Amino acid sequence: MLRRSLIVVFTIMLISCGNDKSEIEENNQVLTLYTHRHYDTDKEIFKAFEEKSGIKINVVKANADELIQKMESEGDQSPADLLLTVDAGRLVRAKSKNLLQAANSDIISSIVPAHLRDQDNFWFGLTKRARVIVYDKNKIDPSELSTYEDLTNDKWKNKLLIRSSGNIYNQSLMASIIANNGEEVAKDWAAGIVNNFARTPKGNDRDQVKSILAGEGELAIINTYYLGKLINSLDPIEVEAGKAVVVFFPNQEDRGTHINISGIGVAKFAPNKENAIKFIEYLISKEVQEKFASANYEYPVNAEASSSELLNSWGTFKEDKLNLSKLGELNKKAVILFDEVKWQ
Amino acid sequence: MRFDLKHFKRDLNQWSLYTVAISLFIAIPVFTIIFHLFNGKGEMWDHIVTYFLLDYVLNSIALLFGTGIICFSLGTASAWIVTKYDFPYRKLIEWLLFMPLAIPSYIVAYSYVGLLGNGGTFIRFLNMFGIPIKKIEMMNIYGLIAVLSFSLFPYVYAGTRAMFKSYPNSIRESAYLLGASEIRYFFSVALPLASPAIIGGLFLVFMEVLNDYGAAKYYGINTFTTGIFRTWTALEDIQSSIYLSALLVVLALFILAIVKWFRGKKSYALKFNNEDKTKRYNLVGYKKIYLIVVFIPILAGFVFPVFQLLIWAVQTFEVIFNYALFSIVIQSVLVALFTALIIVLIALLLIYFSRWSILKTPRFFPKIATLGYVIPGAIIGIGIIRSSNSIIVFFDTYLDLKVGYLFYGSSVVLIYAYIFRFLAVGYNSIEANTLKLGKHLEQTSYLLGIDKFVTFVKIDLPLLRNSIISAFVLVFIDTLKELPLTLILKPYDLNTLAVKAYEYAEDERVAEASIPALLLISTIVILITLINYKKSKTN
Amino acid sequence: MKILEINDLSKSYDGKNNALKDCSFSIESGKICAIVGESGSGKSTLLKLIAGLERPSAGQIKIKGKVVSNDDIIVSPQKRNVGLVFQDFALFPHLTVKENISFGLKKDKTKKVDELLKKIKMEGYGNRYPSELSGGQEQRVSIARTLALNPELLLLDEPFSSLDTNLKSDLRQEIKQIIKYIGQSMIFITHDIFDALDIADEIIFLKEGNIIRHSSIKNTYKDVENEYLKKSMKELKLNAERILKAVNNK
Repeated sequence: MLRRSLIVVFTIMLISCGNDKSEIEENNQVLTLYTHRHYDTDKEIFKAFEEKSGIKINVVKANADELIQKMESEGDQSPADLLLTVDAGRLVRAKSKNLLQAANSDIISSIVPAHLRDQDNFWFGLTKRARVIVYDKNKIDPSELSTYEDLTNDKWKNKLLIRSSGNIYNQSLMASIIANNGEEVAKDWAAGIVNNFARTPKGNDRDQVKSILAGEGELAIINTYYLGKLINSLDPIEVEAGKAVVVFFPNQEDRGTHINISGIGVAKFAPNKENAIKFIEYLISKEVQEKFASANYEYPVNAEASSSELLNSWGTFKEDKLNLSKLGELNKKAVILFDEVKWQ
Repeated sequence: MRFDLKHFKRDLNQWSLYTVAISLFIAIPVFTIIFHLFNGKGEMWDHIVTYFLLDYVLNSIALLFGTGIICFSLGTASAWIVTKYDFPYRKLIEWLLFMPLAIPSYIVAYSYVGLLGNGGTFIRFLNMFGIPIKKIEMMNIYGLIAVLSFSLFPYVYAGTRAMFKSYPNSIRESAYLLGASEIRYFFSVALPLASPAIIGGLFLVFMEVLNDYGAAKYYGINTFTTGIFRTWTALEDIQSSIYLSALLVVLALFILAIVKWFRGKKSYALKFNNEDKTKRYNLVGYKKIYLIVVFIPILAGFVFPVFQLLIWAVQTFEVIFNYALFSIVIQSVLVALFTALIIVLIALLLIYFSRWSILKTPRFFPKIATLGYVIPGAIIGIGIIRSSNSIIVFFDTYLDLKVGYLFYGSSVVLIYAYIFRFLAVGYNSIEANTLKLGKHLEQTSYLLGIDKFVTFVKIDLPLLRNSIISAFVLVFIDTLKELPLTLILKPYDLNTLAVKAYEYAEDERVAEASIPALLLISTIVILITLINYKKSKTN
Repeated sequence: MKILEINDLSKSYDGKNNALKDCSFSIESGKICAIVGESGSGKSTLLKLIAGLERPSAGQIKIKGKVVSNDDIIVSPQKRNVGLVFQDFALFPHLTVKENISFGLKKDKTKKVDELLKKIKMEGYGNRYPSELSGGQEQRVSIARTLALNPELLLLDEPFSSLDTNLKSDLRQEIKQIIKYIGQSMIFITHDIFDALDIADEIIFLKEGNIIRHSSIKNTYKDVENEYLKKSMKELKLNAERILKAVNNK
């Protein structure tokens, strides 16, 4: 009985493999995308690409870390063509784990600025998010604000709201401070921030803004992207919270405001490399970039694309031109320093 | 359990072999993880020990104690009221007390912040009456304990209620005749008799608490499970996260050992009722106040969270709702039904094959196969990807077959992962009932010349029917709510409600998550109602 | 002819302590044998070994001259043609009395069931469920179910322990009559020596896994040194009349 059932199992397996293979051969116009982004806007953008190019997109959505782990385990059998993440650090990690390959395209190189892509063209930024200070317009005079470094000043004691150190955007900000100021200064900075906490870090970026509205603190460090979501929320309380604060872009007098990207890279064993590059070119095209800006409140990387009305209302700003590869390289260091100063 | 070599050949039968083979096949991820433990400690291990380990241990213990005490109180007290007293809508209330299980605990966590956080629904309500309160802080360990308790107490309620119902009326009557007060009867007779069920329920609560990721992360509490993720993702040290998982497993096994010890100590020879023939007293006069005991858990665990979800659903309905969601409902249900079916089947095979095995050692193997319940989903995911990868490489190298698409393009691996993760849920609840059945019935059947299979079909299966159905339902609910494994192992074209809800919540769009969450909850509610209806009809 | 032969039979559950140690005895066909011992003496183990529900650690069991258990061979319980009535009767709760009795039958079900129901004086009860029966009725159904298959050897596990003393005596006689009438070989276990004295032809005394004595009923009475008997008499504060009555019955 055991033998018979084994034979049945193997037959089923063989039949299914056969099917899968022939399916792949018949229809080579596919593209498999591993993505950490799960926005409804993306779905529309992908669909438009499918209609335009006739290439079908298979989407696997999970956390970037899980996707990287998955690609690593799958090895050269991995169906992934592209890895799309919401921060540069994960792409750097994927590159260092030998999971990506160079995608040389004149179109991409000409559109994506040098500091927003890998020097060997292993990955490219698609959209930018700025990590800014937002403040309670009734309690804070913006002339008091200047830099990230200034937030450790005693005058902000018990007034500063920020989420936990487990969050990738805080880790990237810390990495940029290490890159710009060195490890020791960065550690002191983190300790100074902890010292000024209005409360122990909890919740997400939106919760920090809501806490300002509730008077738990007076200023917060958050991503512009979430503020956009908050102001356009369907929940009236969230809208109220979003409108109660004003954006301040720090470090305008020196290196510029810290930015992060949502970025993409071609998988090392991509079965459909050409399609993958076509897709990246499409994503950085003017129309798609404007869509990202208007529907998802992300800053475009394509200089020709205009930002949305909301993003414009916050004003233009000087961004930190630090090459984003640095953020990935220093990410772990950042986490270790956070732990050492007990930033929860 | 000394190895008896002399009789090995005589006592070895095919069932021993099947038990071992099935168990080992299911337990592959355990071995992958154990194998990784031998790779030495990860580079960040010392860092973790210095800054976090104590935190993880203390927080996890505090959570276990807190939820343990609250779940015990809510679960046993509500079970007591519904079995001892009769009152209007009692049947409905008995059923509503199960309902908190239908909501994933991380959704409950979010909805409580929506109710009680800054500008929360309940806060605004209080403000309308001139109570100038800004918020009720939920996002701390007490809040987490409360939220987890509200969503997990039905595990205690379910078993305890079944136990209370099965007491012959004579016990209660004789206790009263001996002059015991009601309270004394509850504490010195009813509770101790129900202790196996209570402890079994608490064990499930503890495992869920240890495995919780979403709620603890949102509330900013460092636990083993959040630590495992953090070590893996932020500290980039998968080796240390496997170490942490191993510690978590040790903690879980420790709890399991205590449970075994308790259960072993207490066994009562009582002839229990199989059906509910309990005489109930009418709840009259001041005693109506007892109803608070059943209303609090229903409100806290089900009505309040669902109320908040409904408010969000109304706000986001136009943007989020579309008919494609129903195809997601169908996909989720099909996957969960299939998984539940297979798990019940495998649980039955393992239980009976190991019973039929004369050798004693193979009977130990199913325990290994049920270890998945104590291992965090993400770690199982890693274990499974690594093991299936070895299989793919094997096929590629030796047989020149590319099976990668079979593994990553279909639900085979995902369902295997569910089986490993949830086998214990099905196995334990059915096994407990087979133990209750005892061996005499099937031995009698053997002596009447009936073979094992026919005995199983004619005797065990009908007698286990109810426990098989409840095992099926429990696995179905767990699978439908499952998140980390589904995220990492699902094929592209499969979508589940839990994943959909998570995608919004992950992006800080909690309100938008409410519609998939509500669909998930209603699916479970409908299933439970159908089964209850069917049960009451056949009884 | 010997219905049962047991040689050097031992059983250990944990590999260290013996539940049963080097037991040897045999029983003639048509006899009723009682196994008497306190709880933990190994009498249940012995019964299960004979029925094939447990496997011996050493030794041999023969039924009707055929080896059914030894170090190499185990005949399954289904093929031993041995009947066993458990102390808890083990009636299938989801089946009616009729269905219970006919459970092991392959043919002539109705005829055989009616016959047996008559024999146990429960004609009107065929369609009832076990939960609707009294303890005594359950026991009779359980015995009828076992007798339906005409076993070579009938085993009873503590058949009288759940009955009160008044009923016991009647029931003992009733069972003895049925058994003797059909010439059934039977072994039953009990902790109460008076059950044994009342209906058995011979008694085996078990203590801590060893057979301390195997004798006919008459010899048992003469055996003033019998430790078990002495102890039982003392404990139960029995009056001599009852013993005399028992002796007279022999």
